[in-house]
Amino acid sequence: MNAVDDIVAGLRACIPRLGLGSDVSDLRRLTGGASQQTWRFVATGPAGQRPLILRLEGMRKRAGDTESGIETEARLLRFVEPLGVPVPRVYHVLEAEDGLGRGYIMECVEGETLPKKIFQREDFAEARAGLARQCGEVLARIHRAPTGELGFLRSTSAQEELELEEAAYRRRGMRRPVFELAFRWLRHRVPRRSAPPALVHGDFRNGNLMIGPDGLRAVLDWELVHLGDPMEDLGWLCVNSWRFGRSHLPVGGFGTREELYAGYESQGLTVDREATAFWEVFGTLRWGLICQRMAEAFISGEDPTVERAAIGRRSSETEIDLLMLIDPRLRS
Amino acid sequence: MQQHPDITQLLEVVTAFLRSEIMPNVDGARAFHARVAANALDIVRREVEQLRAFPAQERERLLALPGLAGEGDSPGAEVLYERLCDALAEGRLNETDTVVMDFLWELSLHQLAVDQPKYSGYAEGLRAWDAIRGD
Repeated sequence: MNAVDDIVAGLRACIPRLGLGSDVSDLRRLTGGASQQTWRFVATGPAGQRPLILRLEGMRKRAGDTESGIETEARLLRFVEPLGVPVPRVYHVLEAEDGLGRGYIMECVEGETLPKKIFQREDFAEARAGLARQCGEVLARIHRAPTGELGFLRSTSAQEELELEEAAYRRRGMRRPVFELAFRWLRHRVPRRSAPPALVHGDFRNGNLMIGPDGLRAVLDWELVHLGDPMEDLGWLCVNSWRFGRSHLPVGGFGTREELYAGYESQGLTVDREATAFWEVFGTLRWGLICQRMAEAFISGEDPTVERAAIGRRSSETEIDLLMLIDPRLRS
Repeated sequence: MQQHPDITQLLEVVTAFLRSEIMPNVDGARAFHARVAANALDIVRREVEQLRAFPAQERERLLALPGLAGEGDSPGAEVLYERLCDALAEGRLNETDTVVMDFLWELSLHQLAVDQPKYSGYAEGLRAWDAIRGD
């Protein structure tokens, strides 16, 4: 069900029914992971042309995936929008009769997600200056969301996340001394359970943030959303891998921790600095483990592409980042 | 016996072929994968060069770490790495052991020099490592 023609046919049947237009054109694939695909298309109607996004569940779903499922993602987008979190508006969650598989149709928010463009575009200067603070404000709005109706989400804690990652690492059997050091370091610094668990985006970082000249326009990729320690999002946003060479600006290469924390605390929530330090080390290790996991998919023959093979060699980037964070001699 | 062209020369010519002949003449996704393939061959070339430059040094460095090998015990590098991993996992060796941390810094910088020398963290790591050694 991935051929372009099949998707166009499905959309032509469904778009008029939804009142979004009378015809469909210009379908092209934006991204295609193993678990999700993103397509852009244009719906044409009496009111003119409207670009839209189709999110589809991919072919493969791996056992033990912590992704929350595509309907959950759509449900979450609808849930957080009225809370002041910038997200694309969801127009339709696909049903069996749509014949397109599982997924949803949403607004196409224009802007940049590529870090290099975000760093360099001159018309983004003002947006950049306020971005770290804005990220703090938006994260606080996510974290203070009422969780009473979110029982369908995976609920977890720092302790459980660490155990999950370590168990997967041990199963894989690709031991690295620096990763062993980091796991032990983390085990001794697990933040106490924040009570009750908050709504956590799970992948709030440079690359998943849609930026325009006016600032943060949309928070994308809610695949890893869960209930847990909100400091996870703050730590993950500061992982060196997302600074893309601009290490002096720890928040995604565009801002300072002080700006991020000020934005967060302006919304009436408090930043636990020790917990964010834990989550930054955890996030750095996690990226190294993700690289290993992709390499494993190559080695097992599941995904025998040159891209998968090469990414395995990126684990060593995170080793240096971990030593920078852990070696006490750099802190004296 | 040294063969000619040697490994480095063969890798260089194939990498150059990918970059100058293939990449400009294929579509977007294939060009991307050709670039990834050329980068992977760069890793191979750097690893081969490094193996030539640092023969067998690894095992001696591991043997110098505390508690990894007993009297009359002569394990290979693989076994020593396993023991180092166990010691770090259990905390018998940790971030306060400067001789262990020095080894991990050198090991990681070495590996990154092969894998991704253009990663921004590599230059930073080198600076940090210089600062540590300067103390």
